[in-house]
Amino acid sequence: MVVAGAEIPPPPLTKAMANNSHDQRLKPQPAELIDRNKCVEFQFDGQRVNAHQGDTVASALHAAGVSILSRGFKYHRPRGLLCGVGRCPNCLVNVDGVPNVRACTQQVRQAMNVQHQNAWPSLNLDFLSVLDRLQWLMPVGFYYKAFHRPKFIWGLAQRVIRRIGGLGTIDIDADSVTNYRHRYQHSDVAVVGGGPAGLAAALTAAEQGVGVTLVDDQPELGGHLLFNSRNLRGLPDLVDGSGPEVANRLIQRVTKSPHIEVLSGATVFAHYQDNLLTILHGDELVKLRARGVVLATGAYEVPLQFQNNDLPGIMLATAAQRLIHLYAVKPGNTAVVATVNDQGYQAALDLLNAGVDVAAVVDVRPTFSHGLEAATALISRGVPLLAGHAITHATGKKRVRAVVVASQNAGSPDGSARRIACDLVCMAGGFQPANSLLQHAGGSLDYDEKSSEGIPHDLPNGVYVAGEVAGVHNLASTLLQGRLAGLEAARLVSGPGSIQEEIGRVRQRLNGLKAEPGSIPPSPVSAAPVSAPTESQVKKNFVCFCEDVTVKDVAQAIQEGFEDIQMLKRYSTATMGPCQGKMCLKALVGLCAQHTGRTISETGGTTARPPVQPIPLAALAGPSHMAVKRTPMDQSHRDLGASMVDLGPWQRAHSYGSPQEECLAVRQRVGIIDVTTLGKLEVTGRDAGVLLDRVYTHHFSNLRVGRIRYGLLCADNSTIMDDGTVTKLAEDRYFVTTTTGNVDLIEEWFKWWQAGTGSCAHITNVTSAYAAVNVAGPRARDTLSKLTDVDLSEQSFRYMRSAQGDVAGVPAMLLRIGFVGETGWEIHVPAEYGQHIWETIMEAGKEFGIAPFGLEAQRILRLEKKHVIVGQDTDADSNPLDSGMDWVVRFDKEDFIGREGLKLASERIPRNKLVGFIMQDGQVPEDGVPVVSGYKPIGKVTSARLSPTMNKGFGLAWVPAELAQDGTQISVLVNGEPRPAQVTLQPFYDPEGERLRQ
Amino acid sequence: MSITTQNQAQFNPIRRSAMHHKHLLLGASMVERDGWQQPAHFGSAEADAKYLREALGLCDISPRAKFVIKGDQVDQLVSRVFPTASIPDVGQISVEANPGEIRDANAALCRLAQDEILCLAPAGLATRLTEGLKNDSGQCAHSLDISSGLAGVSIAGPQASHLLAMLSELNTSNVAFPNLRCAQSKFTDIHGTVLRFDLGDLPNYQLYFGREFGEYLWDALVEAAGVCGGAPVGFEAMDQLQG
Repeated sequence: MVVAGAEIPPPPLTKAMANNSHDQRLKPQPAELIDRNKCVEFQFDGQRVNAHQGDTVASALHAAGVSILSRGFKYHRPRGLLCGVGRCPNCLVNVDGVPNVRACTQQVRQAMNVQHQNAWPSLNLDFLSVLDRLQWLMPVGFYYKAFHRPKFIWGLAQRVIRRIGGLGTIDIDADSVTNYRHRYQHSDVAVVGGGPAGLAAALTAAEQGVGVTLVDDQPELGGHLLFNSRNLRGLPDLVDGSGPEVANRLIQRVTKSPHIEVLSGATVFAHYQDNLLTILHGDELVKLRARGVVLATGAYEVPLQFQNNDLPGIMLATAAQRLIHLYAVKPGNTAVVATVNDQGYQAALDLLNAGVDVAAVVDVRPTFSHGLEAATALISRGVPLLAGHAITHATGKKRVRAVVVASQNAGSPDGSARRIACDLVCMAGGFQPANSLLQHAGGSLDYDEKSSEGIPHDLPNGVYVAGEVAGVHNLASTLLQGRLAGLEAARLVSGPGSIQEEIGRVRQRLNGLKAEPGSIPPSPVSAAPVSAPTESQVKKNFVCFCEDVTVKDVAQAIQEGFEDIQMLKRYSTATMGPCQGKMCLKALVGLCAQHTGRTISETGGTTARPPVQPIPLAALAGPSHMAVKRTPMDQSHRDLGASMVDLGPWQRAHSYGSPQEECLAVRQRVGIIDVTTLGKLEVTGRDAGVLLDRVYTHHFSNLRVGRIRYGLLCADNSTIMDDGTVTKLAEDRYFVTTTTGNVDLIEEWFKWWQAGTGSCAHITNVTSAYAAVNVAGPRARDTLSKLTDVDLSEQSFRYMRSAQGDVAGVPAMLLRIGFVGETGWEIHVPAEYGQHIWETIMEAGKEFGIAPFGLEAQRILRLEKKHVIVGQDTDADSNPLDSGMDWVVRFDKEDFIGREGLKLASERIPRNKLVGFIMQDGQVPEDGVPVVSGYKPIGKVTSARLSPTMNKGFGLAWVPAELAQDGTQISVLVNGEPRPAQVTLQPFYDPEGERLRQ
Repeated sequence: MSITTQNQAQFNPIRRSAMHHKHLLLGASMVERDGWQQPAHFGSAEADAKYLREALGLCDISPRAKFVIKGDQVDQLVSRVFPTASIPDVGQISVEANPGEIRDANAALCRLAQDEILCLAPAGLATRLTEGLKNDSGQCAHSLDISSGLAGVSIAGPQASHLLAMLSELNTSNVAFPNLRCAQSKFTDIHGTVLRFDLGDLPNYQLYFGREFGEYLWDALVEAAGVCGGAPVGFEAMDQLQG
């Protein structure tokens, strides 16, 4: 029976609904997930709420008669349960200090503390709901165009917006903040989705003997079968039964299979290259790599558009079905079901069976599906079915009280409106395939006009789809398609063999099912366009529930020129909230197409990017591991009270007190510094020297065994890449040091230039193998002589020579080099002796006043020697010639990396040169300040410190080449003012290097 | 470093692994073995053994001798030094007991790449291996003692694979990574080499990584072991398992 024009008297609202104190729990349902024998008590905004184990927070609150769960993001309108399955933003709450928890998927726990968010002072009385009346102040994109004039307004407005914007607050002191773990997992086949298609796929793949991981985001497998009360008949290889019965049979087989691992309550939030799935499973983030992936992610039911479609009590039809069947909760007392497909009829029947008075079924289609069992049952029980009608608006303040329904004329209301009282509106607005993961994987979609859905085509290798995500809504076809996908995924692992034949058979059955008229029950999602709203309808007619974007906002954005769907998304922010378009993308695209006169295909869609579902940042971060490198002497530094700093990944001693005093100790007595962090490479092989000749600007193949030479590496564009020393240990063995941060790069660089040459040279990174100290100062020889039999005398152990011998009973390599400009040795020992060598030298040096010195003192000391630190004093444009290191470039070599560029550079006048400078007025500039002419920058200070030797500020700076003359006066900006300095080209300390060689 | 040691008695040099101070903090009973300070047990050898049998144990095996052998003619060098050894394929390990030139040695040859083999042996054999692996034949193959550069942890017990899954993307399941396999991967973002040497029926993975990351990776391993019901163990319990 189709009722036309009859006025349905509004049922009186019960007292229970008015005061939210009524128990809406139904008698036991066949598929309910709750355990009625186990009671759980929790708090919601300070009130005790009784629930059963297995309840979600939302189902428990609904059972207790609570219908307002949150407030809207922008207008602070009351919001109630909408999707019931963790897709939408309507039930975000704070649970035990964790914000933005979805109440509809969060299971209750004893004594959990649930609090509302985004409302003040309470959910029922939210002062910020005044914003609902100030829409004129906040049109779409208002932050681009409102509050900008006069200028000072924006600063104020910005603070206010930031204060009231956002969703929830993080309580950093909360004890319950989850410490997430990360875990990697591997599987032959991963199946995403535990509905009928996913279950069929998993079972079929497992039957082929391959390992399967089945991931489902719901607490129980079964998908929509769990709340499908119809008697399902004619399913392939399955006995007839209700949805839960069919689901249970499949689930039992899955549970028994030794090849299937099930991750329930686990959200796959991204699908990356090579079938890497990232999954949030409780407090664990699982990175699952699979050879084959079956996406059986189903589809999301979407809301309808009408005025006030966000009132509490207005929910998706499947949400109401879930409340009834899974949680035994009566969603309301008097319902209106609005539908665009056959789905709504079954929902109405379920409501009726649950004791809900169904006031009307409003079907936007001109006629409903005759022969539909549910429709026939509804008619027989006197439910008015209004075909060709749509809800134009809903009324109510804190819960829907009535809807206005109008007959549709070519998609628009024709004016014959009627009011129907109700406290529940179920929206069966059609489905949007859950294809985000497929898009992550690189799959593409074709829009199908008939079903109003994007249908996958051109699937990536190793990715298969089944069920509703593939546009299949018929259960028999879904099961067969799941089976087909499972077989195809298994074939990837075990090869074609007999699987190929089985694939052929399943394909044939699937095609036969499609071809045979009447063999497939009518689709539950027969297509119907979203009703076109008129101007009268558009006020507070929400498209995007996350961002409070209305139909009017969308229309206005398009009118302002944002016609492209991607731009429309960014400007309006629709689809950009917590639901990531699950509730609104279909409507947004439809509206965009409608307003721009394009087809849906021409309009296109937005780009799906990870994550599909909001994921806590803590889950992405995982355990608080930060890779730190420590030298073997780390504990000794700490015991000496060193101030430790991060230098890249290394922990280094910055100083042990006063860097200036440490410098003086080195200049006047003896100092020791941990230089373990130096990059160290061993280059071995008969062609090792040839390789070094190629990569360094200097000669190395002619170096004599036991000698050391400074080496400079240039990139192929002739800029400085790195520097260090090269020690020849044997004819076919070199020990190379690099700067601390560059060793991995240089190792790769050497290997790059070695590869394919056919020569014999091997590069091994031995940075970790050696602990190293530099002992320097006038008493360094005295100190070390106590510990070694190696002759350290000036005549026997000359500057830039090496020797091997025992130091403190430990096999050591001694290099007579000095970065700090004093007599000194760099001593390398096996790393396990690091702490021993440090402590023994410290003990031996006591009588000579030894002092440990840190990174800061080393930097001052080397600066006094005008030793360059690559990367600090040079940049990506610096070449050796401009940097004053032309002495290390040997053009007499036939070739080396960067030679041609340097040759060209040598033939032109450089623009800038690196020089030393001494401040003339006692000032000490900071690193990086400009060299100025007046106030105009003409150069840059790269390093500057107070010299403990000269007691003056000094440093290195890049200056125009014409100023790079000894004695030239320059100006350096210190505290914003130009200060006089004098250029010096010689080292500031011991320019002849006599102390080094002593 | 192939340098002979002298004057050891005078200075009493102590070899410490990168995790030495972590062991002390965890209450290890440290003893000297093969010239290294090593944890004998963390409470008692019996308690350690229980962890190994029922969940997993982490044992510091940094003292083991480790040599990298590189070159196009690496097979020839290895064949000369270990004449009875089978040369493993890439990703595989061959264990050589009492190899020809190095009597009483029990060396493992792990092929990391076509031109690279990692040779592992008990700590006391480092000097002899250094000598044995010297190549004066003119062939393009060279060995280097990297014992000091690599820290090592043995992860043994029924939950060992589960622990590795928390740290690395490497598939260490029985099927993908059976006994006597080796691979390189990242472990909590640190490059490492993992070798599988089961102790009878007990899964046992040896993880080697840059010494400078020792404390960092040890902390991560101990944390993950706690999740799996495991704990650090000393060499005594490991010796018991190895018979």
